[in-house]
Amino acid sequence: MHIGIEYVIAAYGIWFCTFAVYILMTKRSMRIAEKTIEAIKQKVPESPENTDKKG
Amino acid sequence: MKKIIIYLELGSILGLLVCGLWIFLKLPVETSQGFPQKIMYLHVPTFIATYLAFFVVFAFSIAYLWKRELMFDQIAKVSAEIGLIFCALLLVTGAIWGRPTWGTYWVWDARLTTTLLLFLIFMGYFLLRMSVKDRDKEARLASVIGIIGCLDIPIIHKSVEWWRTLHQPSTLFKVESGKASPSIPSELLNPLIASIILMMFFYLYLLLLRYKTEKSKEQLNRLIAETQV
Repeated sequence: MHIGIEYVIAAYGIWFCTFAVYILMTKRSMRIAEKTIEAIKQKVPESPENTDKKG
Repeated sequence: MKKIIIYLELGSILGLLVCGLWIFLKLPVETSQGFPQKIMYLHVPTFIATYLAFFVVFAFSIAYLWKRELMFDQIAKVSAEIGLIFCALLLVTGAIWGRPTWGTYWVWDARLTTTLLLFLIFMGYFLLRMSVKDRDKEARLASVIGIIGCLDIPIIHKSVEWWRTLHQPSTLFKVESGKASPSIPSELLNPLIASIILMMFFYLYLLLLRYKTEKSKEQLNRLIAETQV
């Protein structure tokens, strides 16, 4: 076993975990935003306000 | 843009993994520092990525103040966010590397203190963004803070030359008899350069991914505002 291996594992581990969490969170928030945009776009033409305006 | 993000994601992450295998399986253990020297291949590229991220903040903040295009502010904002994460990791990996080599996690040395200052300036940058409600005012003030904050980078870079520090001089650009040259043998230098290049691509991947998310969020806010009207 190498001397000081725990420091190397700690440094690489923290770095890897930080970016893994950051990437997953960014992708999740992008998915949520895109789904909400789609939902709003689908809902808006069906809303009573819009149909009233059309009518 | 989606395809570029996927290529950058696969390329940079796989490249960094291969580089990791090269560093841990192929490279010999350095004689003076021993195994903890392997942290250099993470710490130095993180340092370069921090510089790059804040340079992008600097450039796009100037561009925003000049052209007043919201896109420039969005790029500056996401780059500052990524730069802040890189800067935090730079401080953490540096502290971890400092323990076996210097015998301490932290000293109030010029390089470490100015890097901490950079981190705190950009924490303030985000606090400012959160506290201002008007989008244009937020972008304007954040651009000014972004430009001022980036002026710390040349001070960080030169700190090891201007003051007597515990931190070692630059590994890549050690100045000897007027010439800047790497201070490590090529056997150790080549994987370091490869890690730096891959880290830059990784930064670019994060920037595009985060920018796309930011654009979606802005679009969502606009849609919500329109539907409420």
